[in-house]
This record gives sequence, C-alpha cells and structure tokens, in this order.
Amino acid sequence: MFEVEKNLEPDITLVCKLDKEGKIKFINKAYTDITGFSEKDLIGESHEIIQHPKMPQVVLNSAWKNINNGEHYYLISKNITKNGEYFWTVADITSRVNENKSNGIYIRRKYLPSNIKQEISKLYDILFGIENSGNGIEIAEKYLKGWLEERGYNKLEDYIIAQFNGEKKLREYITTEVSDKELLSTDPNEMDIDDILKFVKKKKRKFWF
Amino acid sequence: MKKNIRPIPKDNEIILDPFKTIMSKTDKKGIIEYANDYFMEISGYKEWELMGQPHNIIRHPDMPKVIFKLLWARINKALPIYAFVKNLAKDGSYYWVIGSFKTVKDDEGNVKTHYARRKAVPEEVKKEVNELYKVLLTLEKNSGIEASEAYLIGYLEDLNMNYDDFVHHLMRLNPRQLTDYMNSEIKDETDYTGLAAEEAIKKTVKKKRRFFW
Repeated sequence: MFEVEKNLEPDITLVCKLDKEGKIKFINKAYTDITGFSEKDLIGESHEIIQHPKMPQVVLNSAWKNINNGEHYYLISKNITKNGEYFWTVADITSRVNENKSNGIYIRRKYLPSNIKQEISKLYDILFGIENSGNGIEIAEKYLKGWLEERGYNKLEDYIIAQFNGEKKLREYITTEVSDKELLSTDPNEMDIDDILKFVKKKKRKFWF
Repeated sequence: MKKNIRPIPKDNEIILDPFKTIMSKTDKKGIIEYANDYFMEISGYKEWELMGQPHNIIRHPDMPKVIFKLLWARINKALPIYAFVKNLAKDGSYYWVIGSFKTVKDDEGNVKTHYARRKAVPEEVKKEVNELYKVLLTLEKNSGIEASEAYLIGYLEDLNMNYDDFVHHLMRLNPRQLTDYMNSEIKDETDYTGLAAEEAIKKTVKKKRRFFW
C-alpha cells in the first residue's frame, strides 16, 4: 500500500477548504481527479483522509499550531490517492476566521520539485522512524530542531521557503496557474525548482485566494 | 527506553573522510538530541536507535576516563575544548576523531545544550595519542583515575605545555588553523575518501560557519 508514486503535473493546483476542525468543506476538480476520491468521499471528512500514514506527527502538529488567522503557512506533505498511490506536494495554507462566509482554512497544493523532495523525504522518514520506535514525539521534535540548526534555520517553514528562493517566489509558484506547453511536456521528475520558477509568472487570481 | 547492548570491540578501524564532519547535539546530561548523516554513516546506527540515548553509547573501552573528566569539566563551564577520542561503532569497529565542543546556556545561565563537531585525525597524531592513552588506561585500571590524572599533569609539565597547547602541538597547527580545519567542509564532486587528514589540512581554507555549529 502507498508504494507507487503518482507524478503530479506542475500546472495542477489542488485546492481545498476546511473548517476549523479540519473537516473538508470544499475541493476543486483537480483534487478529485488526482486523488481519485469523490466529493461524496471527502466532504465532511477529516482532511487526514489524504494524509500519508507515514507523515511525521511532529510536522503535522507544528502545522496546526502555526496556522494563524490571515497568515500564510507552508507545508510539504506526502499525500495518498484512493487507489493507494502517494504524491508529494507543497502547500500554502491560510485561514480566515473573521469573515462570515469564507470562514475556514484554505489549502492550495502544488507539485513538489524532485530536488526538494529528496532531502525532505529522507527527513520525514527519519522523523517517522524516531516517533515510532518508542522514543516519542519529543525526541523527534528535538531531532528536527537540530536538523534545522545544522542547516541554519529555526523553523521547518523557513527551510521550505529557502528551497523556493524566498516566500515571494514560493507563493507565486503555488498560486500561479502554469500552462506553458514547454513546461508541461517535460517529465516532472526531471525538473528542479529553478526550471519551474522560470515559468512562473504572476497571474491574476481567480477567486478567494 | 530501549536497552543498550554495548557492541564488542574489534580490531577494525573506520577511516574518516577528512572533509566531512560528524556533528551531534546533546542536552546537558549528554542525551543525544540530534546527530547528522555522517554520524550515522560512520557509527552505523540509525537515527531512531541513537536519538534519546546517552552519548556514551559510542564510548570505546580503550578511552581513559581522565580525558572525559577533563572534557566535562570544561564543557560544563561552557569553555571550549578539543579532545582526541577513539569511538566505538555499532559493529564494534573503532574510529578516531578530534572533537571540538561548544556549550550553550539558557537565560538563567544553566547549561542547556552541547554541540560537537568531529573530524578525522592525521595518522601520526593518532599514533602519539594512542600511546599516551594506553599508559593512562593502564594506570587507571591498576590505580584509579587519580593516578592517570597525576600522570597526565606530569606529562604536560614535562612538555612545558598546557592541555590546549598540547593539542595544537600534536596537530602541528596554530589555534587559527585548527579552527579552520574543524570547520572545513568541501562539497564538490571529488571523492576524497582515503585522503589523509594531513593533506586535508593543507587544503583547508577559512569558511564562514552557519549558526551554532
């Protein structure tokens, strides 16, 4: 189960909206296309349904702690599809709690470039290994802190932002709908972030975020 | 907490790549909080086996206790120190390192964290250190740590050096050069496996370090 990787095209954006408890309220078409889950499967369910079982708890906990009203939070996650594949994404997470109608947590996800995937995938495996060897989450938390310190960062989010050459670039990457033919004809596994960022141009956004 | 099974030492040396650094971070009691990839590669442990364990999991029985006594006396005062250490890998092999230590205190001035960087030791230095450690260990086994400590003091007095001078003298490096060597890391495509530490020292150039390490 979850041994086969599904490659995401770089132009695909998975969008979902959650309520404060993490229950899914809305998903876009790409979301159902990629995951194979239908609206019926997902709406009202916990967002954990598409979370890979080997996602380290320490990373998820820190995400939930850091999703603050009005601010952006960036998370790299390993996700699963209904038929047992996995795929890596980088997510831009924002929340709004003050407005009446659009109350909730918004998540936009994009394909994670392979050069970034390598290091983060190794880190997550280690963290998951520590958490599940009787050591407990505190030990994994300490390991993560040391790992980041060695690389000169305080928070995992800062590390992610740096991999995308800054928050501005990262946000542009996630929010932009890339539809360049040259980019789309490239094998996603052959692309690293520099290749992809070349194609990213600021584009007017369609709806709420 | 898992039970530690101490590996049985065997006469097999693991030679370090002199441009790679073994790094670790422990709490004030020496419990491992973080160790880098090279630490895993050389020691043969997996992260989940090491994190949360006492650092002495890699202590080699050939090491005289007096060296650790000296080491802890310094680092508990947050003073810098170098030490030559023979370590024990998971499969019982040994590897020699020169370690440098840095201690960070919390806002109340209590020791919070120890950071350590370890590099390869030149062959001739290993030989000299090994001879001294053998004497210290024998004395310790026969007459206790007071005897090995007294011997070490006499040994340094005879050389007319303090401990730090002695380290620099053995490494044939001045303090500045030794710092540069400890911090040097080369990440190019060349395979430096088997390059002697002596050669690496010659290639060492000053490098700006990030953060604590």
